[in-house]
Amino acid sequence: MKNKILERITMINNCFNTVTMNKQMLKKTMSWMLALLVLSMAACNDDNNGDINTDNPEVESAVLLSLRTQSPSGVVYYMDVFEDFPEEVQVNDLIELGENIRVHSFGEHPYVWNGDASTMTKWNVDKIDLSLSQAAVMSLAGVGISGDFGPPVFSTETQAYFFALTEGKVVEFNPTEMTITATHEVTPITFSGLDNGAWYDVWDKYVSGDKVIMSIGFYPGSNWDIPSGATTAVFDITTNSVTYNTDERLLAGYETMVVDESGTIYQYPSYEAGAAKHYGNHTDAPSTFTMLKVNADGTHDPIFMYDFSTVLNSVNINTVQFIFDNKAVVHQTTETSWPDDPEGRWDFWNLDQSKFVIVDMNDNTVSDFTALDKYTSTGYNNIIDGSIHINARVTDDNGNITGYLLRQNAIDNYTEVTKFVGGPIRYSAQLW
Amino acid sequence: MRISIHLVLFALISTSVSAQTKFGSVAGVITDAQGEPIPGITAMLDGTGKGAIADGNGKYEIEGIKPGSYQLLISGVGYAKQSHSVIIKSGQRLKLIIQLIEDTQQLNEVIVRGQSEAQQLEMTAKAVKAIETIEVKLKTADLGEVIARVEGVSVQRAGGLGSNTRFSLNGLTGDQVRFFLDGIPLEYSPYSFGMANVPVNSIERLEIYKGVVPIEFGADALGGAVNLVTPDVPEGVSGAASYQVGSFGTHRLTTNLKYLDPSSGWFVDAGGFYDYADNNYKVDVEVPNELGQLREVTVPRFHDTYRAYGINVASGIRSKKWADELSMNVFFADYEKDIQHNQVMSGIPFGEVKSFNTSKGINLVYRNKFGDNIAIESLSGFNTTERVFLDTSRYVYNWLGDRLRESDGGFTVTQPGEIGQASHQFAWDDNYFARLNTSYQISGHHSLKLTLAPSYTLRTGDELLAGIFDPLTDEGRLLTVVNGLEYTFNSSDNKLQNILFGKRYDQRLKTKRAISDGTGFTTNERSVNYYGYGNGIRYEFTGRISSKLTYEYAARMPRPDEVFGDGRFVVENIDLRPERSHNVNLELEYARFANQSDWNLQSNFFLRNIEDLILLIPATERRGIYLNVPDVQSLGFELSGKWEGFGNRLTIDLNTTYQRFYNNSREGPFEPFFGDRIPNQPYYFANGAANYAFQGLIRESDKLSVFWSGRYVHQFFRGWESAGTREFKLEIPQQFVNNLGATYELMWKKFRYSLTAEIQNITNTKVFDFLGVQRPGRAFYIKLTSQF
Repeated sequence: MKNKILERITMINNCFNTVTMNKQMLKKTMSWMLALLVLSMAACNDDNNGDINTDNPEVESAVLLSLRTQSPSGVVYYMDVFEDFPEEVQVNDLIELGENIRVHSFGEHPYVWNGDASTMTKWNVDKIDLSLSQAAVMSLAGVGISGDFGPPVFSTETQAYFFALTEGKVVEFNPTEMTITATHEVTPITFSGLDNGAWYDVWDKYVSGDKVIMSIGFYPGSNWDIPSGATTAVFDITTNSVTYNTDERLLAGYETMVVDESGTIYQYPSYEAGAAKHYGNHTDAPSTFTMLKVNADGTHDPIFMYDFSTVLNSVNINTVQFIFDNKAVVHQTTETSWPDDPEGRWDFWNLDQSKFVIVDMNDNTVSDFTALDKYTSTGYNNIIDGSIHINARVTDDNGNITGYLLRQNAIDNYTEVTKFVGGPIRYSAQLW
Repeated sequence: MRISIHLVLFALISTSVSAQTKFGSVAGVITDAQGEPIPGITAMLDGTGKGAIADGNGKYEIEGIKPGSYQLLISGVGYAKQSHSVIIKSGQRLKLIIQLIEDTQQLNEVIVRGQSEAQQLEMTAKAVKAIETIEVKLKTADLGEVIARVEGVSVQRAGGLGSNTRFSLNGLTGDQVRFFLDGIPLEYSPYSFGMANVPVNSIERLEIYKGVVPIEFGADALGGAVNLVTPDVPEGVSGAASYQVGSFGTHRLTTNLKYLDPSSGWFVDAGGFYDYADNNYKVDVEVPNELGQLREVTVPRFHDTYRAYGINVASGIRSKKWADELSMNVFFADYEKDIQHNQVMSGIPFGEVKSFNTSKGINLVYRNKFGDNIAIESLSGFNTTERVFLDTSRYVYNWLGDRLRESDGGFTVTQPGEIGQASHQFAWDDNYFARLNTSYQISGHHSLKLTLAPSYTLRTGDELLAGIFDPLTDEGRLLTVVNGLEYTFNSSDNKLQNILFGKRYDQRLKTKRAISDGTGFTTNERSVNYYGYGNGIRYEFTGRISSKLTYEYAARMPRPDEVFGDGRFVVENIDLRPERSHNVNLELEYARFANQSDWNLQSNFFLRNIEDLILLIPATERRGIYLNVPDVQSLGFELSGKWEGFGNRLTIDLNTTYQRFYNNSREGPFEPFFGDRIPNQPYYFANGAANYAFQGLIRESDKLSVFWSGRYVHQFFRGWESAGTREFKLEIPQQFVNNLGATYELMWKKFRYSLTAEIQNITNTKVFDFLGVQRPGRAFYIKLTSQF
């Protein structure tokens, strides 16, 4: 649509230029000019009627962007496709998707998961004007899956998977036809002896050959009960089975995987694991400072273990944001003890109590990392055109959120690709 | 079977009441020489102080008459006076039809009409719309539907009887509008869990205060107040009962018995209600096949049952030298409601989620006059409520009501809970309130009123499935004091009234929160205070045209949930400020009364300029925080008209409202949507109603009324109107719902019976008040009402 508008503006300019060039002729032959003007206007009007201009070439590139806004009725999600990311996104032009939405993509198509409706909708993108239209809808309500349980994994044009491992289900579907092709009963995630508030599910997912490697996101309940070790789930596409690997050198956590530039997967300490160990008084529990390496088959490398506590004087590690050239960008709490009231731990997320540092795992040195200091929070988004892109947001004192999409040029160098005033950016991808 | 039981109960109540009658009454119809009923004629029993004014159908009735001989005096402007000797026997209801002759000597005099209490209230300088329920209580609409027919009012409902309801008055909703029952906060009554489900039969009059709330309510309401007024207790025995049955397994029973001993002044007023609805109306939903492809099917809702009952008994003394009234009222109510689906009625339905609520309490009332100039009213009350939410099922249901994989013995999920995590929550509130209203009549034209109104709430709860740390066990304490002083001036010709008032709001909040490792508690405290003020002026330009200009700078203190969160889904915001609003109404009224047709036209411009509007801002799907939105405005126009003609046999009501309730903030979380309407609220709606009465079809006192009502609501958006392209925006579609019915009224002995048959949503229109949540389609109801 935006392309079409640009083309129309170009055509109008061309029309105007045509008129300008014929000014001298106009003095001589008014009638000729009038005729020319009429013809020109007619040509312009034809284009303005919205008919498809078959001469228009297909757009060479298309990027997908989703974001969300706050409203009194809920958090509302939007998306749109651009030829290139605009300097600033205008919400007026976006596609409204509703609430409880997650946007994904595969190939040239956006896929939109609606957690309330338990549906995945495949969208088509017009190659000429980048307009969006719904292609097909597939529902998982019939298999009893709803809510938000992490992104699906797209394997091929005809094979993709939803993982609901707490229910012991892997739903295989055809992302082209948008039909469920199989529901595989697999070994469910089971943690015994946890209180009711404990929550766990698979979250981060990485395709490694014919295997899907997933982290187990774990969130403690009100008793601060925690499983003993960090766990990965591995789905074998060839056998449609799931195996679990637990390593007790690291405590279980939440959203606990990161990939370096070579594709190596690491499992890192999570924020809530440290809190659970402290407030639950689990003195014998595994460390919450160690980072493990995950092999291509989903098992943990028994040799690799990096202990951040040897270089950082911190009560906790919140996240490991990136690993690049064997250097880790770590978000750590600067406090050296937990607050008495566990609710106060959320204040640690504020910049005053937390900061990024670069931990060089080659020589065990720590250096400041200030490249993202201006942002209230950041997170991994996607790899676009070979570059890591991250979400960043700034929340001002009045609660107004400005979301940014940043391109990583180097580990400490970032470029603002686009921004949106009114909410955070959620997902981005290169469609073609 | 259930119907039979209810009918028997209905009959028993009626019979038992009849046996207790001691006093007599006289009733009838007053007509002119042509037999046309004459409204507004006065009928007085000489020497008793008892009398009545003939209603719109010429009917009058004088009750509570001791046996004996009397002179019945009939008088009215334009007619010759009459006097009739009558003998009233014990328990007798004497019927007397009176025909008056025109007195041509009086025809040039000003026409004077009797005014109802509602009309008298509207003729004050208060920004109030008063509605008498004498007609609507015979019909099958519930209070939510009745009140939605008032201009400026929007009532959005998430389903059928017992469903969640959002009441909006000139754009303001929730706690911004306060509800009262006879001046007492509605939570101190059996109806503490929802205005919409209050039985219409128990209400005599609705008073809707728009933006400017009189001080005597002692409330920090930002957007207005609604006062539900119950009938007074007449001398002797009186009562009423109604039973309604209809579509979707609906049964509604209300009863009321009153007794006032005129010699001792002792009275008792006991009432109760019972509601039951399966709410199994059909909805269009999408159901997937094995491939996950959706197809639309029409299915009945299978888990939406609503059951509620409540009783209240008031007793005390009246008409004593030391007390106009000293009484006590005890009440109890119990509610149970199934929850069928998520807030947009999509995806997987719920098959076992439920909520339960109970409420019980006591109110004390004391009223008296001291001399001719001083009057005191003291109200106080206590109630305790329990709200229970239960979601522990491990089953997954489909829209056919089946458990998925039932053939395999029932498919269960690993982590129980259909909505999210399993939950069995309790929330308890202990509420106290007191109010002292003192008025002093300085002279015939000047009066003062002082109100002192403290209230106190203690809130705590429990999540039975929680471990050591349970945020619901946090204690929240809230003390609010609203004091007011009011001065009223009435001109000597009664054409001008002015009410000037000031208010002071004080609030103190305190919470005691458990530390999540179970080692102790933390406490939070805050206190705020604000001043408010206002003025209302009404001027009657002519007998037909009057105008009213009202203004209040109102404030509302934050509630405990808003400041301290709920420990689960609402995050604490200790810095939340009270919301304030400049509320302005400009009303213009034209009324024309004539023998054959009456006109009443009202228009109202309103402005609400709100500072620091308190709104729940969702931060994620499951967690939100109350924030102040710096600047919000609501600007609108209401127009209403009523016409009565053909000897008051035909009545037509029309009203329409347009409001622009929009975000005017250039800072804060909504700054990017400056100028947008606040989403998810109707902004243009209209109501219409018509009633035609046939008098004396079988017997002279019988009446058949045929009525229609309709409501139009224009489409509105779920999200910000400027966000997103029009093609894909989520919107709640426009609706036009029509209801049609008939009521037959008859007198038998001293009982007045009515039978109503009504079809609601006669065109079976798909109606949505909230996105995706379909409301009931065509429904048929029958209602039997008896009064004596």
